[in-house]
Amino acid sequence: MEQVFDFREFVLNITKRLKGILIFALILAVLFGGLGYIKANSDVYMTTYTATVNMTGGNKEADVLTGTMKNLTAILDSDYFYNNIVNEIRKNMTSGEFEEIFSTNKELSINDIKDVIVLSIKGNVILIDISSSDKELSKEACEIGINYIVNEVPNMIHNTTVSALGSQTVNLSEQKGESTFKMVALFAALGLILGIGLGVIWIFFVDVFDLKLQSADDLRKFGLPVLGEINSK
Amino acid sequence: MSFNDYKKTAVNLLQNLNENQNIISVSSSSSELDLKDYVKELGRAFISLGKTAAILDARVGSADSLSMGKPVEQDGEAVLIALSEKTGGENGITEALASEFIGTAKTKGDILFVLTEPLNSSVAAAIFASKTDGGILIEKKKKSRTDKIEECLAELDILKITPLGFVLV
Repeated sequence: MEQVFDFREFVLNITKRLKGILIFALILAVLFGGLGYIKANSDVYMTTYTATVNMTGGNKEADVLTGTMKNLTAILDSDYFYNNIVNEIRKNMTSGEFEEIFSTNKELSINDIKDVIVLSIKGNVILIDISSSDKELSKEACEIGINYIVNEVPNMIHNTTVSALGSQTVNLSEQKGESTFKMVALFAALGLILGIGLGVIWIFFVDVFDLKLQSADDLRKFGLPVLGEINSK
Repeated sequence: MSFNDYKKTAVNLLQNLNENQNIISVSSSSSELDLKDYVKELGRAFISLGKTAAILDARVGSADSLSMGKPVEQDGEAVLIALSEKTGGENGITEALASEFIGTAKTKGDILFVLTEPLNSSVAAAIFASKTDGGILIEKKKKSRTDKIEECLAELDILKITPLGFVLV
């Protein structure tokens, strides 16, 4: 008897075993979802280093100082200034170093920039904080920032000093709540698809390679009558 | 097991037999399947239809220990008979003796089932099977394999036994 693949039978078998396939797929979805969660949170804690630069701005005359610092505040607050500092850093560092600090090599939004670089003025002291996971890079980026400011507003800056690097450990999972959910959903969906796919493949191979007698129809294919079916139950 | 299923099978088998066919070889592609109980029930089903029925066990270990023509197991109404050492048994059975035995059985009863499973298990089984009027195969759902059934049908063909059909259990 020639073994012929019966597509209709195959579809019927899938329908019959749909519940089993779905249960298997759901189990895989849960397992994969768990893997996604673990992956999303595998680097939860990261230490960042912040270099701070102090610069003294303005001049010795108090009334002039106030006016100068007001101007500096406006300049440093501008998005334009932040963008220019980032461009300077991009120009003076390798793409790998830049990515290490900003987590990407692509164009950055002003919010992304302000997450990494903080410019502030206290009295007549200008502070630049740049955070990254590498303290040398933070320091180097700060120095690039200083040079840029000094070159841009040379008459307003008197002296600069780079302070000791500070470090802190941040819990990235708090920042990555949304991405954790996305990762879990993605992995769970992959598990579900894989489960259904494996179920269908399993049925296909069972249909093609299983030679066990399933019904009287299998016997009729030999061209002989089925004289009776005895119910063994 | 439903006795009605056996009765329906018996009726179907009778319809498939002509008047000269009453010695039926019973075998299976699966050596793990014990056919004796199924054949006994089938014998009872024939008796319930007003026929006489008997079973000859020609398999290894059966053929040489039982008495020819003598009921050795009165199980309900079906009678189990087999060969004895006197008539040859496993090693001594000859075609002439088998023909004589089958000839006697053919005139005595309406139907005789000869258990010959598996066909190649012994010379006696093969000799007796070749003397029967036709063969049926008892196959078990989800256990028997279609490739083995094919082999079994080929064996029936070699022994020139007319396959009459299948019984699915």
